[in-house]
Amino acid sequence: MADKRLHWKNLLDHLEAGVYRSTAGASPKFIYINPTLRQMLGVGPSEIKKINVSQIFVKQNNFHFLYKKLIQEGSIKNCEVRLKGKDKKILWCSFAAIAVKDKKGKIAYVDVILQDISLRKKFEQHLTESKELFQTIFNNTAAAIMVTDQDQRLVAWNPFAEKMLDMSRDDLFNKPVKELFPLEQWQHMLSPKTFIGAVQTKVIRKNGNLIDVDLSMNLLKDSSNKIIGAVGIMQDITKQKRFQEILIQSKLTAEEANNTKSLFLANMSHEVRTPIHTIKGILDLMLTEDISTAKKENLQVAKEAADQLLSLFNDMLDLSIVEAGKLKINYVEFHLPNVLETFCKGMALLASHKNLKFIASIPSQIPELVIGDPVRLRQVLVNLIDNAIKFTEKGKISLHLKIADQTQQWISLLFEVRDEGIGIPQDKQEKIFDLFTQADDTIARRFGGTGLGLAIAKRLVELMGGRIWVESKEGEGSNFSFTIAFKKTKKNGEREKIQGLRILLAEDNPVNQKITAQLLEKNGCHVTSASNGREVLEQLKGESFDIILMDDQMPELDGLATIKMIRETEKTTGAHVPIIALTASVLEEDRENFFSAGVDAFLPKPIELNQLIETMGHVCQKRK
Amino acid sequence: MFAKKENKTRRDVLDTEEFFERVQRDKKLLMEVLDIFIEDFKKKRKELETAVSSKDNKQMIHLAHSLKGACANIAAKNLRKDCLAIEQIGMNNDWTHIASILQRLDRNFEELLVSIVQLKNNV
Repeated sequence: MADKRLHWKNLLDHLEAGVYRSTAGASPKFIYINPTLRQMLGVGPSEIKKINVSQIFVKQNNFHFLYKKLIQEGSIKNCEVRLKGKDKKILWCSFAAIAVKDKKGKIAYVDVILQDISLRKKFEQHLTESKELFQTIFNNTAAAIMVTDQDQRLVAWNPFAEKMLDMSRDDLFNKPVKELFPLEQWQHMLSPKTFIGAVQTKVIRKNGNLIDVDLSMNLLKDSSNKIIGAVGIMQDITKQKRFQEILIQSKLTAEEANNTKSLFLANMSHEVRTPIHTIKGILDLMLTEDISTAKKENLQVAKEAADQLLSLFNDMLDLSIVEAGKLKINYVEFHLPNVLETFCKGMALLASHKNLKFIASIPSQIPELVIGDPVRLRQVLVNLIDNAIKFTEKGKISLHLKIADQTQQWISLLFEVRDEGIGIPQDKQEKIFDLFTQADDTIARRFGGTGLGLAIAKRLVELMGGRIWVESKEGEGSNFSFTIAFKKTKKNGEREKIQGLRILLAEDNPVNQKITAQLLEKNGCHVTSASNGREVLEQLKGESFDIILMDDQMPELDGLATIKMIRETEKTTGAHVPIIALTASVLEEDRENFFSAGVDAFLPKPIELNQLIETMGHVCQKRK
Repeated sequence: MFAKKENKTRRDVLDTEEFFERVQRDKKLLMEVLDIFIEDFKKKRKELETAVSSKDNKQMIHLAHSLKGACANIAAKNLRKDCLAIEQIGMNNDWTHIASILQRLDRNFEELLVSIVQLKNNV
């Protein structure tokens, strides 16, 4: 018997739940309390004997209620009580008790098991709070929230959904969700890409009207990852949409009005320029006449005014064309150093009128031939250098060119225009590229100008795939930089082949002679000109040439006869100068005559420079 | 429609864009060539007058051919057509319309001069 008792005590001492035995009655005392419960309550073995059982309960009423119930029923289970725990901590415990009676049937003592459930209670409380929070959001959010089951039928929704769709609970419950959407929209949403995520669509209200909504959808899955439905949140954006449409329409109308204005300006400027040209032409003619100095001075003033007017209209025309989106960048192949050289000569002359130096540096690594718009490039440079000259009283203006970036097909060049002029205040530097803006309001009065030049330059540079900016210090000068992207051309190689060639050009017409000779010189050839066959033969006696360009119809001795004589002479020397015949004739017979006379190539007139260079390169290669 | 027609007419007198391209957009060269052209045309026009009055067929063909080439080079299309017509008169030896073509040539040259002055001002 004693062994059995020891066995039970041992078991109770090591049980994880709290266990006690107390006396019966209204103020019961502990008979036994296991170590787990003592630890839960934070009391020692001596203290426990001094206190009443009811004192360990947070609310003693609870204890009395439970005791009363125990007397009536003999046992209690599934009750939850709060105990005064260690360090004044309240412990939630499950409570199970049994009343042990003596032989007379009277309650002798009470056995109780207490299990600490504080952690579970805490989770339950969190869950309740979360549920309440979710419910508050669900009920009060100003967006429609709808939940469907796995058959895509509506099973839950918030009050706002009813309001937005103007539908009651009966209208919505178990409704297939696809019935809320126009067929086309629903089919669009069913595509795998858009089904999950956000989409702008339309839904049908009870009265059949459509409203625009922003819809975001998510699938609902259970713990085994099985899809059990979906949740969708919809926001009514009908008003926003309408507002957006109005805005777009207004923008289009404004743009159209702006374009019309720009086109009107462009047309008007164009119409005005024609009579100004006539006035300028007449003034030019009158200035060449033999008139008095006073009259000449007056005419000069009138001409300068016409020039200014023309320049203003040119600016306006350019700007209005750019603004109307009508300006197209004309991509042509051109010789960049030549264009810059001619341009710089003009600018140096302009600068010299104010005793200013003009320096240009163009590095040799820059390709000679590029594809871009030389007219617009020149226009941007004129704008910047004109300004530099205008705002500089002494010192120098310089133009520097660098490679900013390049790929196999494109090259971006950086142009820098520096001056030593009045400079631009820091706070005005960003604004000077705006329309009708100058650094200082007095500038228009002091220096003239419309404030359009830099705005036009900026737009042109951007159209040519670049950007423009300025660095400046007041009183020290400005540095305007811009980049432009040019397309590379393969022809640079062909031009290299003709570098340094000695050319004898036989052409009697001075116009044709001038154009051909000058352009070949610019491409690195040394050109000697002859006006007829006799002069050609004379030249050949004293000098040797790499190529002869031979016109057909020349006075005294024509091209064909000259070629025959040259080839005849060569029979004795063994030499062979390549000859390219130039003729306006398109007759096959003429071609045959030239070839049988011994020409190496044949080119139609008027001469196209690229074709000429290509033919010259080809002929030279063949000879080598 | 009218603007297009007007542009076409202007381009027929002097196609500035074509001319610009031919001289590789070299303004200095453009100016020089125009001066040479005017001087050469005036000189050859006088020689043409002599050739026509003396019915020197060969010389007329040579002068018209030379002027035709120069006109093509500066893209003076109307004037080039007149030179071609004169060259053909010489080749066909049919002098019936020479007077009216020469009149047209002079008129077209005057129109060209106006265009040249405008072009120079623009450049």
